[in-house]
Amino acid sequence: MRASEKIESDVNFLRLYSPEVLELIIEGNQEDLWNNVVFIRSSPGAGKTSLLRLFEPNSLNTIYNHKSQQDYRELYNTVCKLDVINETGVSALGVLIQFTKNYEILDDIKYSEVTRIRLFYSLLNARLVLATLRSICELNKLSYPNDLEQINYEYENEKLFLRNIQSPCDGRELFNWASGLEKSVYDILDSFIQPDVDKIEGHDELFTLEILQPKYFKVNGRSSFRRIIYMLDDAHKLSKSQRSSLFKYVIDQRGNFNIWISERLEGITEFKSYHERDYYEVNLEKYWGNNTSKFKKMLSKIASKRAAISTDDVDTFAENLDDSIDEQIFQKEIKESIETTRKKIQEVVRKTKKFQDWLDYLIQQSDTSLKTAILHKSAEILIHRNLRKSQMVLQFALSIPELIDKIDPSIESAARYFLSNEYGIPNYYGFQKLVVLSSNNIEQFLAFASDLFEGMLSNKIASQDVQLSTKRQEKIIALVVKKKWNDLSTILPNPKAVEGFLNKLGNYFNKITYEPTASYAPGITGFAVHSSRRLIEEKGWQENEIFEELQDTISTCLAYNLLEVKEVSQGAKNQIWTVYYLNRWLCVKYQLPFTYGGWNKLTPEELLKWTK
Amino acid sequence: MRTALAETLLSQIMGWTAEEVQKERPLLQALSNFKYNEYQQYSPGMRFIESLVRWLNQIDDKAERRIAYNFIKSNLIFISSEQISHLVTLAFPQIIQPVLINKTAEQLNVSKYAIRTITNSAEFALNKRKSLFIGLSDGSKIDHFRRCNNISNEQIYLDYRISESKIKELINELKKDTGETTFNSIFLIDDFTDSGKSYFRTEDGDYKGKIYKFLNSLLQKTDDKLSSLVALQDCSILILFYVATSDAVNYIQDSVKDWLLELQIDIDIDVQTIQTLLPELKQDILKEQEFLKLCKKYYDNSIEDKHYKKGKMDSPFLGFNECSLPLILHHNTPNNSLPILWLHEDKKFVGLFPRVTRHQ
Repeated sequence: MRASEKIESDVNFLRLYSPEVLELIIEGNQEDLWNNVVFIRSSPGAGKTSLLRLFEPNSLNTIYNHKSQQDYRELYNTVCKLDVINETGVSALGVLIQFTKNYEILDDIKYSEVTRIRLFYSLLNARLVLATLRSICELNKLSYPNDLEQINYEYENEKLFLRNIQSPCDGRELFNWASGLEKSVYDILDSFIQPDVDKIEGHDELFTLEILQPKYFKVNGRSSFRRIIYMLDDAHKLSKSQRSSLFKYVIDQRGNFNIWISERLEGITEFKSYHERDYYEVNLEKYWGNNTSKFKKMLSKIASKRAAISTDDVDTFAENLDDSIDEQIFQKEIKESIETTRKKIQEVVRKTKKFQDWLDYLIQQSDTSLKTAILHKSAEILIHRNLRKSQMVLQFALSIPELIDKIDPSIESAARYFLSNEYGIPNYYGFQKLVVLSSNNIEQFLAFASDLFEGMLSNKIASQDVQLSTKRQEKIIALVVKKKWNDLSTILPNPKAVEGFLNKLGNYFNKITYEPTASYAPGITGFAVHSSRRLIEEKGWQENEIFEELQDTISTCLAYNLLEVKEVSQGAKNQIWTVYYLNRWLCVKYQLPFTYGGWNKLTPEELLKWTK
Repeated sequence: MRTALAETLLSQIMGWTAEEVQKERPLLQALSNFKYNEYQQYSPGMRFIESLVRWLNQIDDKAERRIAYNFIKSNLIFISSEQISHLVTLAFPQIIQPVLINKTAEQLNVSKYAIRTITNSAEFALNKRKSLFIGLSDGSKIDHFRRCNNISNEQIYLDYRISESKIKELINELKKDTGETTFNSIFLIDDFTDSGKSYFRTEDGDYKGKIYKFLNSLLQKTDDKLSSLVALQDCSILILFYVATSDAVNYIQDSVKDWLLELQIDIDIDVQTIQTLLPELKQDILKEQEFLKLCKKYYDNSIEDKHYKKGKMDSPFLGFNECSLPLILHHNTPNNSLPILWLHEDKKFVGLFPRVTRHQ
């Protein structure tokens, strides 16, 4: 049950792929999608690369050729809506370029900024040509590079972009030119001495986007596709200057080509609103965050599809996650919680008769169900709240309707977390919670789902009921969380600072959540940075070098999907606050609720101390 | 047996809870897939998990089974084919080349650290060609060794007993390539030894073993043809094991040295290993008292043939010569390992990695 990037065969990848994510693109304005620059942004594991992989020629060919099969039908219908496949075949050519660190290395060589960018464009032009030729071969079932002579390239070189190649030409000649150009850039990278850069065909722009258009390509004399989708994956691996030059160029030139750029969100400032920019943005997590039922549906399908191909005789997933507390099993804990809470309330009633009616009402609830335990705990929270402000309030007895009226869903939810925290009654279980726990990230869902599935298999092997009890689910989830936390020390660039910061943050949230008054019921899981410096007009904390460590720490948390960002309007002036919520798996670590909404304003000075 | 069925049986035999299954199963699957399934002496259809089920099922109660299972999980050393291949590729650059460099440095009268000067010299190339590589068993993988080190086919041989016609051929080819008729280095190569006794030992006052036989023919000139391969005055011999215990290396070194003293022959003979197994390995196993009780309980003395009895026999359940090794080689388990791990298929108690014996 792990990442689709690792699924090697196209057939398996497509059988397991859930097309809900495509609806995100379909729902948008189709005009935005074509002849435009599309940015696909998310944290790692949200499905960017899988989305791009779907538009590669082999994937589209496979979907078209299997369109009658049940497994592919939904996917086929969905991609038809995007007009990349029609009844006669595949009509779009997906060309994928994966950015790796070797582009960034170009920025380390000792040439001027201008020369470095020229080399970058040379390399990218060469690779776009090679990738396009490869994709044409794949789409037309030709062998690459053996069959390149069957491709005719009919560009007349009107703008003289091509200097060292005669055009029109065939695919082989185009390949030889691009390979030679690519090799000459490699020679610079591999050289110990500073080579003569003037001998290399440097490019000032990414002209290949203009000269590689469907109308210029014929395969054995006929056109085989109507549009090309250039897909540049992992753009965050480019250097800052390469990235900004490339983005500026493609946005300025937009209109004549389709270019999709996927990248991980890394910096704090990148989370600012994009709506006025001249490109179309697909933010996967934001989309799922706004479409939770679709996200749930997709995860359910992903899990079911993967479970269905399991060879271990457990072929369903969500159904095997128990989604209610077995009160029989937790009878002792429930009973103990009711007795203890009642004793505490009796203590209070001895001092003030104000809560006598409430106590009597609680005593009338003679059963020992979980509902009664929640009622007791809710009453206790309300009593604490009342006592906190009682100095100024007359000591009138509070009525039973008042109690019932004050217990709202957030108090009940807080009461559940209190019971879990104090008596070990599980709280993290069921498919719905698993969906929220995934923080809109498919890879994260699979990390938890795969271990839960392993638990189901283990039940079967141990000759038990396959269904996982709530307690077992919570235990497995806690183990995955522990592993994810331990992994941070190896994957983060500055693990000590980030771990320390998250620990302080998590413990602070835990302390507030479990205050007897449950002031932020059901709990608090986020913060906004609130600058208290009023006397001197200073730079904001994001730009101020005093807070560099805090900026780095929060940036790392965002890049590694440890914090989620939401924009929240609050206050009389509807001020927009950027709220940083803990990723939901971290909520498990600090025993916090999964709800969004509970957040606190913290000063940058205070937060900075937590990074030390 | 289907793996799923084997896993179910395993959980029943071990009395595991579902949580224990979840903890152990991925580990067992990883161990099986990475290494243990490649054991070459499993019968058709048998794989590690199936063998583990059979092995544990022979043990009387769950408590004993847990001891046995934990021992396997924590102490077993399995050397895979890939690991041996890696050691083979290391043999030349790590052990043999330095020997040839030292020899050439002396001849050129330069520092042995002038590596480039030495390895680019004609003398080094000559010394390399005048080296004879002899595999002492199939485990030496002498063919693989030759291919990865660009060594002529005419300077390797897989048997310490070299036929007359082969000796003639080796000398003729050497003469063609270098104009000379004798080798000046001999490398005797094998994969593994724990005690060293099958290579050099005394029985009733007589010397025995593969290395003894080869050296005796060569140095005492009991075989004129073999001794014609080398000029003793400028010859060095290196005995190389890919894996060996430090005890075995010291034992062979001392035994050969004593023998040479006895014969008053002055020749440079060294013993080296790429992966040394230290004495701590045995000491750690001897601390596993609970498991050793099982080794004793399920020991089958019918394995004690005349070869087995050549080692120490006070506690034969510790393996040949009481070596107490927890070691499995991918192609066979050495008899120096604990017998409970390798007892043959025809015994009442069958080992987890049943051994096929050379001496039928």
